[in-house]
Amino acid sequence: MSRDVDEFSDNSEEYFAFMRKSKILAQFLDEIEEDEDLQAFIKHNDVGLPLARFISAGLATPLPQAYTYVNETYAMFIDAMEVSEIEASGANDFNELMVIVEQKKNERDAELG
Amino acid sequence: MTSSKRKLKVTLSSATISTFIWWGNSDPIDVEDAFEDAVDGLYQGSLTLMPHKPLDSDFNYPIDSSWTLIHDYSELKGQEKKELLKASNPINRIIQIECDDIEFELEDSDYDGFEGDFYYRLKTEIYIETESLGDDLSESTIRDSLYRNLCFTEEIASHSRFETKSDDGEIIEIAKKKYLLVPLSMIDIQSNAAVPFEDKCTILGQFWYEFRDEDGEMSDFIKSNDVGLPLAWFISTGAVKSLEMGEEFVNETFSLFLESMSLKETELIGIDSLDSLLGIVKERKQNV
Repeated sequence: MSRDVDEFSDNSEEYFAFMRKSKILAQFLDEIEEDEDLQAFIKHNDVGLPLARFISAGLATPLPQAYTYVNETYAMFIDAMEVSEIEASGANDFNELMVIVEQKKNERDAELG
Repeated sequence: MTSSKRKLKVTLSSATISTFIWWGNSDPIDVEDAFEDAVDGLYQGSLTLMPHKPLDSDFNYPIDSSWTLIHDYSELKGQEKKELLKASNPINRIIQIECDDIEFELEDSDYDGFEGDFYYRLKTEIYIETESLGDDLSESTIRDSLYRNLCFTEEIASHSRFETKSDDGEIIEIAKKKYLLVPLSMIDIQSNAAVPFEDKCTILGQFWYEFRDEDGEMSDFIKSNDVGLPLAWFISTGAVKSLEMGEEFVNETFSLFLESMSLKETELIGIDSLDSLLGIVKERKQNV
């Protein structure tokens, strides 16, 4: 993605969606930072995850590069969670996303019998 | 022994230079374009030591009529500016001068498409490293020394379309080339300039990127500054723009970084990269 940051005004839908993703990734990082099993994911996303954390914490405001990195990391993250972007879009934070992930997992288990 | 060296950032401006341009019978050209073309063909300015030459008696130095020239013409040619200045510095406690690019500032122009006058100044920033300032090495002493010993030098194009002069300057000829020597008209010493935030981010970002995976003595510092360091990196790479709270983190990390190296911010004027900062540390170690 290489769209101009100007396209995201502070109250645009895209901006809110991006900030929601950043918040979820930042909370995810807080949860799993010390988890030995997830170090590979953290290492692989050593740009997108801390960027999401800094943006979410109000330390910095994103420029186009940051949108690219955070969106890529988020896509990788929900793919690993086995939910789609549309399904995940109902979650406002990490806990809500985990609820959706759990529901989807239960639905898949039920279908398999 | 602890050194008490410090750096001063000084902005130097030349006296006004005027260039008369005759554009012949060509079509009227926009003044700014014509000036740019003229400067491309004319401007060869540099900052040099005053050449060693008795001045014409008619020449009036604008600041001090006792202006004396103590160096040789040859110093105008082919030497690195900082080496030239370092080697012959009249105040032995000014131990180094670094010079940035020389710019020009257009003051006025009067151009009718065929001929006209352009008035401009040359301007540059230099960094002077000194021992700590005391009564006998005050800013006024430094200022006086700069007035006495430095000038801007403009090579005068031989092209007939140009005639360059300065009311305060003098034309000299060296190896069949003509130069206009223009004295300084303004010296602005900024003794307390801090390291700009952008430079802090560059330095910390380079440090973090270079050493983030190392286990050595740096790892404790990197762990305890796990916000300020990567944030500085992201700011310096243009991924994000800092907000106030982010700047506080970076500034605090930078202070801790300097503290860990026993450096003061006032020693870092003109330092804008990790390499140049480490150069100071290395130099200091050698001097201890």
